[in-house]
Amino acid sequence: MTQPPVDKMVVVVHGTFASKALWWRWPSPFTQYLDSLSGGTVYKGTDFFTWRARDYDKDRRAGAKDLAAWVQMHPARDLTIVAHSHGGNVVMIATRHGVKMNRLILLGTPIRTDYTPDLRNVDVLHNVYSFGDLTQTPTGTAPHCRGEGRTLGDSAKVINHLAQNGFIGPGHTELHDVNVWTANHFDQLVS
Amino acid sequence: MNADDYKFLQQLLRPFEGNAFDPSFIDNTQLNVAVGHPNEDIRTASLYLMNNLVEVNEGAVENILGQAVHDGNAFSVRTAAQFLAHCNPQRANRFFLLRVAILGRRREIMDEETQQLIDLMEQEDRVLFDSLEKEGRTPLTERDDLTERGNA
Repeated sequence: MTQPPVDKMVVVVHGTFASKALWWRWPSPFTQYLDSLSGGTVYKGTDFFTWRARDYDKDRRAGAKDLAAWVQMHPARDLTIVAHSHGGNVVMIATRHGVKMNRLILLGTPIRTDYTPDLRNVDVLHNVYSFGDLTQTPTGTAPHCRGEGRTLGDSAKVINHLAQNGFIGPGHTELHDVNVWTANHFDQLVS
Repeated sequence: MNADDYKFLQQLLRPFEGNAFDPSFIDNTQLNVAVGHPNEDIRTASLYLMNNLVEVNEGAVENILGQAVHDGNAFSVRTAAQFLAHCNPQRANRFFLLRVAILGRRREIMDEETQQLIDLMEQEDRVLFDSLEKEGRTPLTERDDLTERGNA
């Protein structure tokens, strides 16, 4: 059943092999952190969005259609989506199905030629990447890497952010770590 | 990401060099270590490797899973459960489903993935799983054990 529209909503989308992980589900430390930044607007319902999350193109495309249906059932006037890894590609494909959002925050998403987003449906896209993230590329980009697989072309609505900490930068899974967000001031991306 | 883990991960991911996957570059010893590694990025990379490898050499992946089950540390069981829960169910060998589900349940790890493994089981294996649970046993150290009991 379609829910009444809310003013603001933040949704977290997981990546490959992570559909059963807990970090992206309320009330994980990361979602609580996002909730504190966004005025308590992280989605907390039990019918959270998830996708099958195998390392297959067809799962990402099916996930994108499911996300479009989910967003239609959970309307928000101001929507922020935080997506990790190939979850970001699920969201970028969903923009081609007409899913509109105010902010899309990608964390370690493999940037590929076949998942180009429809930027008419995104107000601003923040792409967070790290040189310590070796899952993003080449593991996640083969065989359709765009550029070096980490960054999108900068523009008025696309901003790349290099995450830094420690030896060479956070690893793939550390990109959704609260400490990494705090150290890199990524709170500003949401609030 | 510390320097040692980064270096290990770089070596592990050699089969993906050149923006394509080449299984001939897979080092089975490294992959065995990666499956049970405490670093989550390394375990995730092992899942990508197995997911690609299973398409060309299912036997090699069975060996890796067999080693993971044999090692039985919490990380290797978790990785095996993640792989089995996300891979094509038709490919999931019943021995591994049952063994990993039992290990997962015993150690109270990855509860949802353990449950998913149980859901993926054939009915007769589910009956076997339930009876083993009831007996409080941690059996199936040998493949024959499953064959013997499962076919009884």
